[in-house]
Amino acid sequence: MKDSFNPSIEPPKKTVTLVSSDGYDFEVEEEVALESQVIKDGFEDKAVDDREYLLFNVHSDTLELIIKYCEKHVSSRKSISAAAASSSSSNGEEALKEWDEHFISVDTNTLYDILMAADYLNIKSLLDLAIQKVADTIHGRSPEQIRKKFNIENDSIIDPWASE
Amino acid sequence: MVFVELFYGCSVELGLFSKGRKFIFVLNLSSIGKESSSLLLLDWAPVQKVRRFKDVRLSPKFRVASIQSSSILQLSTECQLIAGGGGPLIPGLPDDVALDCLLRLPVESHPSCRVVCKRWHLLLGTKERFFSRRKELGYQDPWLFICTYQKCTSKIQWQVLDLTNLSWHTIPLMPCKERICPHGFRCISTPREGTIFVFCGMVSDLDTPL
Repeated sequence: MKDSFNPSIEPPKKTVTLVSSDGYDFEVEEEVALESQVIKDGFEDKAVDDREYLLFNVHSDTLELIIKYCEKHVSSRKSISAAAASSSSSNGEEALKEWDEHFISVDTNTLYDILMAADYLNIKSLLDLAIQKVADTIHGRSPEQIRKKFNIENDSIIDPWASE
Repeated sequence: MVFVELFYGCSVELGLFSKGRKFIFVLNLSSIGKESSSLLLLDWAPVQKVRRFKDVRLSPKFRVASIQSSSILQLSTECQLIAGGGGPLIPGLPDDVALDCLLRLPVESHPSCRVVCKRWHLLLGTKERFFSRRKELGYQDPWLFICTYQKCTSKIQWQVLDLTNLSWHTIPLMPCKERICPHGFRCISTPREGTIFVFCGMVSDLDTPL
């Protein structure tokens, strides 16, 4: 009984199994999986030994990235609130922003995969990050560069030199 | 950025600055955060010889009607925005997600995006709906509207300072037929409705108030 009061011994972490579209199992901590609003909704109603989610729309490569993102955000949130509680100065939020920026700097196809997965799993912060990245990619490019980057066919009958 | 602190929340009175040989009227900081107005929801009231308020006609050229928002309309706004034939807005993404991306584009990138393809042209061309939707989602940037007046040519030009990107933009000229002197200007803005009314003014050669 004494052991249960010893803080150095943690209770076994509750985990959730996420199954990717190509059949790979990913075991993640409960709080990491709960970053997804879709998993969060109705999570409590599910039996503890039945916490397995089949994600038909998410490939294992993408799921790995998504889990990496959620884990980072869960741990950062903890360290930020811990720093706030001990009133020590922390640049945790700045560091997390930088990490996000680095995380989302991927090629267009990967970005789309992340975007679609974040939409499907309803992870709002990641969805925002990915959408903003697409907008940032468009911003500051010429029409021709945008077409090339996003593989858009030029069906424009508008004279680009016509002034408005 | 001095302007920002100076005129934050100021919505009626105008300030006068002397900058070289120009006089600059700082009208107001008409848009902060979600209550912001956008350029395209701006109404110009023609100022020529308006004596009574009821005589004010809104010039159709610059008028984009304000939209009553309701949840049904919001939904249909989105549908109407992404409606239209042809290929996807962004190949590889569903149209609703692609629309979200395009809604976040800063206004200064709109001109080059409009010529990318037909669908983008149509989308960015439906300003009323597009900007209403942006407004609903809170993607608007605060803009400072400034009326500049060049003394020697009597030319009045409204300039817009994008306070997020600190870039300058020019908006269409006010529909004034004659040369006017702005000393008698009074401007009132209603940021919630995205409207600026400009009243009065003086005719320069007569130098009398209208």
